[in-house]
Amino acid sequence: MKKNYQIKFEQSKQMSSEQIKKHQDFDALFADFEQKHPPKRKTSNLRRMIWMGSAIAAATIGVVFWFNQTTVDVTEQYYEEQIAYFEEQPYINPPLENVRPTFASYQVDANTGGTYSYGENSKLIVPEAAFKGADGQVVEGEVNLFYREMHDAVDFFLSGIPLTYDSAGVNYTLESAGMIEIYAEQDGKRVRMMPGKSIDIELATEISVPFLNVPPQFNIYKLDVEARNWVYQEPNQMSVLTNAAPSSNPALQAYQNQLEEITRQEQQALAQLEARIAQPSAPQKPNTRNSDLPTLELDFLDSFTGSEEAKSIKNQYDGAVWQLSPNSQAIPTSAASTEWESADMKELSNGEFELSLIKGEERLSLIVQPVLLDADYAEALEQYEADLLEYEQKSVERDGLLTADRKAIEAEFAGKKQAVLTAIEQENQTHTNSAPRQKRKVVNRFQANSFGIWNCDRPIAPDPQQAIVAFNDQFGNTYENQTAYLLDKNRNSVERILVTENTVLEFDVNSTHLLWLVNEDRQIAVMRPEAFKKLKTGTDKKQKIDLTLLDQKLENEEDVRRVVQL
Amino acid sequence: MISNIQISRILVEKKATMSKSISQDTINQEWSEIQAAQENPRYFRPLYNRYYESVFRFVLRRTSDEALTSDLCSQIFLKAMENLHKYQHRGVPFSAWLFRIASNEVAQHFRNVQKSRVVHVEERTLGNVVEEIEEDDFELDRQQLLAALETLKPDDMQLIEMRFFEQRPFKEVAEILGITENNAKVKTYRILQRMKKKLNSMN
Repeated sequence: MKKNYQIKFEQSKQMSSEQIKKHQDFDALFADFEQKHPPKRKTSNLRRMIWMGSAIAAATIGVVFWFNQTTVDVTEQYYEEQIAYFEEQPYINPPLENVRPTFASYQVDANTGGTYSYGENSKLIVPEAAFKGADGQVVEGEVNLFYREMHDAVDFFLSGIPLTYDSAGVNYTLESAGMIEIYAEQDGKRVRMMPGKSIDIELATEISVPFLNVPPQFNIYKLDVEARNWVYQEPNQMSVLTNAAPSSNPALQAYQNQLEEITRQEQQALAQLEARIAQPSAPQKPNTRNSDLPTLELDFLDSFTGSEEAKSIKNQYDGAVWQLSPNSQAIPTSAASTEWESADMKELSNGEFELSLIKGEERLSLIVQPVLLDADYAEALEQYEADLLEYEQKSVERDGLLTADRKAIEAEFAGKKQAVLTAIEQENQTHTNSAPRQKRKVVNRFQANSFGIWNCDRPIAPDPQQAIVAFNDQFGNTYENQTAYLLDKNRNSVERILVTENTVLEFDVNSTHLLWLVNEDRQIAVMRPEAFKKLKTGTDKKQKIDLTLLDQKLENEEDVRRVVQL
Repeated sequence: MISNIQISRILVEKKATMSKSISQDTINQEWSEIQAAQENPRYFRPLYNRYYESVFRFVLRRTSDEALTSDLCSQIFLKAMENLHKYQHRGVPFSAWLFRIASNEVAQHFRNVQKSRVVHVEERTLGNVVEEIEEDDFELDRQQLLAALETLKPDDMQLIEMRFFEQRPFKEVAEILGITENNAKVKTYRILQRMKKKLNSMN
């Protein structure tokens, strides 16, 4: 016989995750990919115009090339300068000394852990034995847990934590749905998280997106301070605390309506499926007498007129002893001396009955149940167990008959929903900056398995417009070789950029931007949104921007918020 | 004679089903990541990080060579990135698509070097095949069984390997091979019948 395989009768080579990780290198893979498939350079409007011109008038090609090349040179030089500049700066670089988002602290019993609240809706769930000391041993006793949340651009600015994400050498800005920093100490010494343990974080924040009925996709990243980069961890589990108002975007509202209709149809289809085979009814477990509860003789019912239903029930349970239910009110002592005129009885759930004794306007309602004694109870219990087995078998059979169809229905509607969700995501991306936004409270859930800075965020596409600018202020001061902060009010993020005599300012004409710098005197110089609107795009001509230097010094967070006006 | 191959098949089945099932929610969530990577290959990173280890192990089983596995994994993920724009969301886990590429790359490699590929069989996993084939009046000789396995066509071996030696549920085997779960079951049954016939003729 021909041998097609080397069959090895042994366990295959075993490698640990750590050993395999050594081979894992996305950056190298991506470099290979880019080498084989060089990225198409984005053609700016300017370049498009130039190329169109060159097609019409070939004679001008030489001039056009020079013009275009100049833009590229200035831009590339700027980006190189910017990278070099920030590499020299501390990675976490709070701009204002002593003005930072503050930490809350919690006394945690390291042995038991516990649940701790922060703000209105945030929560930390610390497991037992979650900390280890420098010696690697479990930390016991009390630990001080320090925790702070950063929600918006002002928090990010004051914290000095960068929101730049380097993916294979390309910088992206991260839009955040909330960030935290967490660490713990015992007796003033830092402790670490025990391997295998993690703190469950429920980070309540507010996000602003065009359409929130479907939470947008955010991921969890952890800051690697040594590598000076964010490291992807897992998708963020986000849930919306407040219902979104109907979207003012008709397309999105139509998708929302479609989703609701699909959900309605799915529920209807599932209900029809369930009705196809009747649900077997569960047998009622018999009760036996509880000696702590009083029993009642219901013979007195026979003497009443107008209590036919009560008599019928009593006869149905012939031989049973009626006992007051634990759910009933106690029998008042006056009941025995009252001459009741009529009675009523009706069946409740769980084998209980409501017995009403009536005299004129007076009505006494008691909850009673039939109980069985001795052999009767044993016999009933045996019957019950047989009935229960039959019931369970029937339920399993029914489930078996319906499961495949149920799954098919769920799969069919999941597909329909996914198609709409995909369309919504695309619509959101298309109208990221132009669509009206809604602010909604959300909770981000993730597990922090080590101390440090964690961020719920997503990389955002580079801004489409570009201008080369130089900054000065109303006093004639020029601004060069320092950090500026660029805010897009439609994005919960703040970008650090380098200001030079040829600053390449990226922005989106459809959005609202604000740029500011802080000088050594803690004064702030601001480029207002109106100035962005006036910028000419599609030209390599340097434009001068007059910043407004404000008199007031930034002393606290409120001062910053007053200027930034989120 | 294989007399000591005793495994708890129920446990194996249960374990395989529990460990390999991926929820529809996860698949749908992942679809967003795939779309992002289709738009911009840089966003392939989370998918790469998530599946690197499982693809590595999948390939290592078939090569027994760490360096070769590392090279093949690079090719597999490169191919995945190159073909990602063709990937369509059909409710099947992304991992199945990756394993299919991996399987093809491994086969292609062994064709190129004109060598036979490695199939790892363990006592307990071979027992899964034995249980399916063996009858009361029919005891299997291990060497004969291995000989019968060695003659299987590549597609058939792939199915038997994933189902019995890697203990993947039929659903996952079907997803990787791009066939229906029922078809995977029928094919498996037929392969086993053919093997049984062959083993009978040997005896």
